[in-house]
Amino acid sequence: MSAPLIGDASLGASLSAAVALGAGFGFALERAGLGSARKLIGQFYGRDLAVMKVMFSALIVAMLGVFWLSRFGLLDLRAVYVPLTYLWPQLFGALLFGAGLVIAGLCPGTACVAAATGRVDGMFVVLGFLAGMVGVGLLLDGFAAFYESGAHGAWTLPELTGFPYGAVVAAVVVLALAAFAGAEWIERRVR
Amino acid sequence: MNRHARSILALLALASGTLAAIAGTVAPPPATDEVPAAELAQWIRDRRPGLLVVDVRSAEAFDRDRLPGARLLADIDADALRSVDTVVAYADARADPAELRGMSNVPRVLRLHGGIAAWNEEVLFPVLRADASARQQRDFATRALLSRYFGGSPQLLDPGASPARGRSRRGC
Repeated sequence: MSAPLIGDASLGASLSAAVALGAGFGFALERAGLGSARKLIGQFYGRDLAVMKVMFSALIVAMLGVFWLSRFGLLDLRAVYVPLTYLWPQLFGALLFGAGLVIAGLCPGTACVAAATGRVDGMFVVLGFLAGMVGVGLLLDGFAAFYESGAHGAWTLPELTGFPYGAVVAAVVVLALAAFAGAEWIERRVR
Repeated sequence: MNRHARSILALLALASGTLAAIAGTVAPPPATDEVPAAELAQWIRDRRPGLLVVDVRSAEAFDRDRLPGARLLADIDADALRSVDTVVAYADARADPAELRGMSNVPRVLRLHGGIAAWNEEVLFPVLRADASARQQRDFATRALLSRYFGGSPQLLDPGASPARGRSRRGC
């Protein structure tokens, strides 16, 4: 669990926080209608781009929140875990994830939401990705070199571009707003 | 959500993002009575006249690790302050202004932003990623010079040598 939300708390407290946050995340996904495979698949036909809007909204809310909380000294950004970048396996994983999303109509989070609300397709997707996780775990030693390739550590956009943190934040906000406007335009055209 | 509410949210996001671009850095800015570690390092290197650096920590902490030319608060008397026009006090993190009440005669009393931890991170041991751009490397050269001047050592971070990869999954 990332500090400083609960800092050096015990494993029990960490797991409790994870369950509470997971339930909140699942509730938000369900309220946004993302437990339905039909809604998720709608984005690939341009009919309903709610997934992109929800995810981009969450991203800019979190990004602006982290920026300003840190700026006002309320959040120690150094204590926040940044996932490590492994370029090639993550690129491959993203393609595989996208293919799985198109085929199943659900991603892992929305599959859990679908399963929790009694949708059979969600339960099968959960079984599928759990089987995939076990399979990858068993075979991991066979492709360990690829799994560790393209390592860039905790790599952030300000480090990659050399632009100030705030400028990158502003650029992502503009990108998100442009994407929202583009999504609305596409939806109007398709309908 | 209706169109009006969405427009307001979009404007709020745009305003917040624009202000972020103006603010620039994500780190909290120094207060009006604080000086950044890099600026203090320049003052010390330039032997700025009338500058006195004061350690407000314990004597044990002072003996273990201190800023160049710093004096322990307990060792400073009125005579020592006669020719001083700027005092910079530091502690482990943030110096308590109450500790500096005895210096009311000094024209300018400042605190080191971030304390000795910031001095160590920003001046003595600055870090450059090995995959940094040419511009980032040029910017870092000045900091590296300052680091070496004070006996520190600039750090080169090899991203490929990151700690063993955790086998966790993150996604939507």
